Amino acid sequence: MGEIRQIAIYGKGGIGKSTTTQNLTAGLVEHGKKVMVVGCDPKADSTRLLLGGLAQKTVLDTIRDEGEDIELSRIVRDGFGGTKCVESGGPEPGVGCAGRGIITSINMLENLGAYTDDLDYVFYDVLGDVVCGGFAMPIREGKAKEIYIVASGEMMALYAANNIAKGIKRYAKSGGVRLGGIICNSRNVDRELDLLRAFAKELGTQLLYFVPRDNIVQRAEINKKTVIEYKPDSNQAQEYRNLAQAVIDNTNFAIPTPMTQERLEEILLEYGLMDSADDYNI
Amino acid sequence: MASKQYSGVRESHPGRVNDLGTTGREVKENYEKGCLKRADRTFAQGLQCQQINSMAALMSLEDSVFISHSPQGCVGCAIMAVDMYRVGQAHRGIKNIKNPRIIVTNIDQKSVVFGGENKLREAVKKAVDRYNPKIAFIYASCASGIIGDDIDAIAADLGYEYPDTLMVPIHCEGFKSKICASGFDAAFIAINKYILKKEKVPKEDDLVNLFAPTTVSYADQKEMERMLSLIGARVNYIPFYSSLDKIKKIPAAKASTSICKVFADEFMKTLWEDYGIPYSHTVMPIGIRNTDIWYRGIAKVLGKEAEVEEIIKKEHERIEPLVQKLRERLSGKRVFICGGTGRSFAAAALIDDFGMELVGLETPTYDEDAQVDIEYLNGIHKDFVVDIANMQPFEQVNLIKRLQPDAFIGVPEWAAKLGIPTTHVLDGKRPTMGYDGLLFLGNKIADQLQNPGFNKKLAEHVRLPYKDSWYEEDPFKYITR
Repeated sequence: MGEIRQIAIYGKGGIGKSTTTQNLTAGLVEHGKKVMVVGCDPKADSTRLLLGGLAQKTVLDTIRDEGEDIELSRIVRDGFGGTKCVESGGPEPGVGCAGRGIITSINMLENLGAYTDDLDYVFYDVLGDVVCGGFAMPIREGKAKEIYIVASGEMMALYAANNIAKGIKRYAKSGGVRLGGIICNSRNVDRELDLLRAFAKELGTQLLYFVPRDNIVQRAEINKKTVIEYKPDSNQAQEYRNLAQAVIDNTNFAIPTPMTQERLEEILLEYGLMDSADDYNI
Repeated sequence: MASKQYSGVRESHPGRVNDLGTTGREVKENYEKGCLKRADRTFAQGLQCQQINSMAALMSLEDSVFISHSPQGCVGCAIMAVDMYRVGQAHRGIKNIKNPRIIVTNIDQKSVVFGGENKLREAVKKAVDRYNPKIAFIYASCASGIIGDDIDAIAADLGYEYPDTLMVPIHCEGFKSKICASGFDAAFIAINKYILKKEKVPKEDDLVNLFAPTTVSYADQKEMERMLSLIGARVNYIPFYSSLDKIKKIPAAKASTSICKVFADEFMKTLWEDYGIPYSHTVMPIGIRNTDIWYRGIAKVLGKEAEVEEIIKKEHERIEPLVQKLRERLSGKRVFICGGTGRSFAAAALIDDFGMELVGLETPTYDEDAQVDIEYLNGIHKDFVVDIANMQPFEQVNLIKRLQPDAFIGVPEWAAKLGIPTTHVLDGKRPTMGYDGLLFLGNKIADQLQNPGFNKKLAEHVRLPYKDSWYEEDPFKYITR
C-alpha cells in the first residue's frame, strides 16, 4: 500500500469541478481504487452525484449541532462504489468565515482519523476562486500535494486558472505542492484544444485531459448520478474512465509559471479565434 | 486638515510617520523638504491596538457597560485602564471603588466560522439586564472585523428592545491603524453618531469642554479646572469620569480644548463643523512655556486675552522663584524622554524650565504638529536623538545604554532596569501639568536624581531580556526605508 495521493481540484466557479471530480472518482473506483471526496464548498454539493442526492450532513453543521465530540461515521458517508464522502459545509451565506470553516473541518477529519491506510486517493473539491487562506487549506501543511485545475476555453476560466496558479506557486515553495495539469471541461469554444494546450504550456504544465461536451452529463446530474453509474456504456463514461487513467498514470508535476494579464490575452488572441471570426454575422 | 468625512484612521492624513530613527535637526529639515517617508520596522515589539485605546478612553464612564466583541485575550490589556479607573476613583474620594463593567463575548473558533452575532446579542442583553446602564458601548475587534459581524445592525436592533439604554457600536478593529490615537477617534466618531446626532442644544455661556485621556491625574484635572475658572469658564470634563449627561452637554459648550494634544483634536474639529463650537488646539500644558501657550489658546477662543495675561503674570510671579530653586538642583542634567505624542514633546520643552539638556526623545508619531514642537526644541538644545516609535523597548534600551542620560522621563518600565533614575509622566496618578503640576514634577525628578537607590538596586537584580550583542548594534537596525 503506497502513500495516499491527496489531490485538490480548483477552477472558476461553475466550470464543472464537482461534476468532473465525481465522474473522475467513479472512474477511479472502476479501476479498483479506494477514494475519499472532501467537498470544500459551503454549498455542500460536491458529493451529490456519488451519494444520489444531498443527503449529507456537513462537518460544520454537525459540529454546530453536536459539538466537537463526534464519531467519524456522523460525517463520512459511503457513496457510489464504496467512495467515502465528506462535505465540509460552512456558515449561512453572508455570516461568519467560510475559509476558517474549511480549516476547522479538515482539522476535524484529521483528529477523527478519516485518512485511513486503505485509501488510494483523497480529493478536495474547492469552491471557485481561492478567496482567502482558508480555501488554500487543502494545499497547505502538506495535505494535497497534487493539484488539477479545471478550465475551459473561455476567457474568464483561463483568467481564474492563471490566478489559482499564482496561489499554487506560493505554496509550492513552502509546502511542496505541485500542479499536475489542466483538465479541460469543454465548452465548445473556438479552437479550444489548441488554446488549452498553449495555455497549459505557458503555465509550465500539461493539458492532462480534454473532456468533450456531452449532454448526457446534464441528464446524469438531473438523475443524481455520475455518468459512469447512469449510462456505463456511453462514450462520455469512457471519457471519464480515460481521465481516471490519465490521473493514475500522471508523473508530470510542476511548479506553475503564472503569466501576466497581457501575456494571457496574447495567447487568447493567438489561439482563441477562428480565422473567420471577424466575418461572423448574425 | 478638515475632519469632514474623517475615517478615524490617522494614516489617512498625509505626512504622518511612525517608524524612524533620526535627530532633531535632521527630522525638522527632512519634514520641511517633504522627505520624511513612511517606513516600517522589520522587527517590532508591542504596539497599542485601536480597540484597547477606544476602550480605555471611555471605561471610566460610570453609567455605561462595555461589551467587547472579541476573543477574551483582547480585553487583557484593559488591566491598565482598570487600574487608572480604580485609582482615579480613590483620588476622587469615592468610598466603594468599582471596576468598569466589561463583558467580553469570547469569540472562539465556532463563532469565527458561523458568525458571532448571536453571542454578541446575548452578551449585550446580559449586560443591560444585569447593570441597567445608560449606555452600552459595543466594541469591534480584529476577529469580528475579519468575519464581518454586523455590530451596527445588532446595536440598532437591541436599541428597540431596550429603549432606556443607548447602544453605541464602535468600529475599533484592532488592526485598522498603527497610530494609537486612531482608537480615540473611533470612540468619538461613535459618540457623535449615536449620542450627539448633530442635534443642536441651548448654549451655556460659561461652559467649556475639556477633553482628557485616562492618563491625566485628578490633581491635573483640578489644576486645569482651577486655571479655567480664573478666566470665568465652567468645565465639562470629558470623557474621563463623566457620564451620559455630561456627554450630552458637549454641544452646549461655548468652546472646547483638550489637555492632550492628540486625544480629541479630530473630535474638536468635528464639533466645530457640526455644532459650531470653536476650539483651541495648541500643546500639552507641561512646563511654564507650554502652560502659557495652552492657557492663552483657550482664553483667546473665549475672548479673555487681557484677563489671561494678568493671570499668567501673577502665576509666573508665584512659581518662578520656586522653579529657580529646582533649576539649581537640575541644571545641566542630561535627560531622555519617552511618552505619547503630545506628552513627550511637552515634557521635552519643560526641561527648558529646569535647564536640563535633552539627549534623546522617543515619540510615537511625527506630523506637522510635532514639527512645530521640534522647531522650538531645536532652538534650546544642540542636537538630540529622535526615535519615532510607539514604545519599542529594544530600541529604547539600546539608545539609553549609548546615551547614558542622568535622568529618564516618561514610561519607565525598561529604563528603570538599566539603573537610570526614572520619573513617570504617564501614570495618571500624580500631577504633571499646569503651573502647580510643574513644581511637583520638578521636585519628583530632582528627588529621583538625588536618591537613585531604587533604580540602582533594580538594575543589580533585574536583567533585560536582550543579548549583550544587541547593545552593540545600530538601535535603528530594523527600520527599513
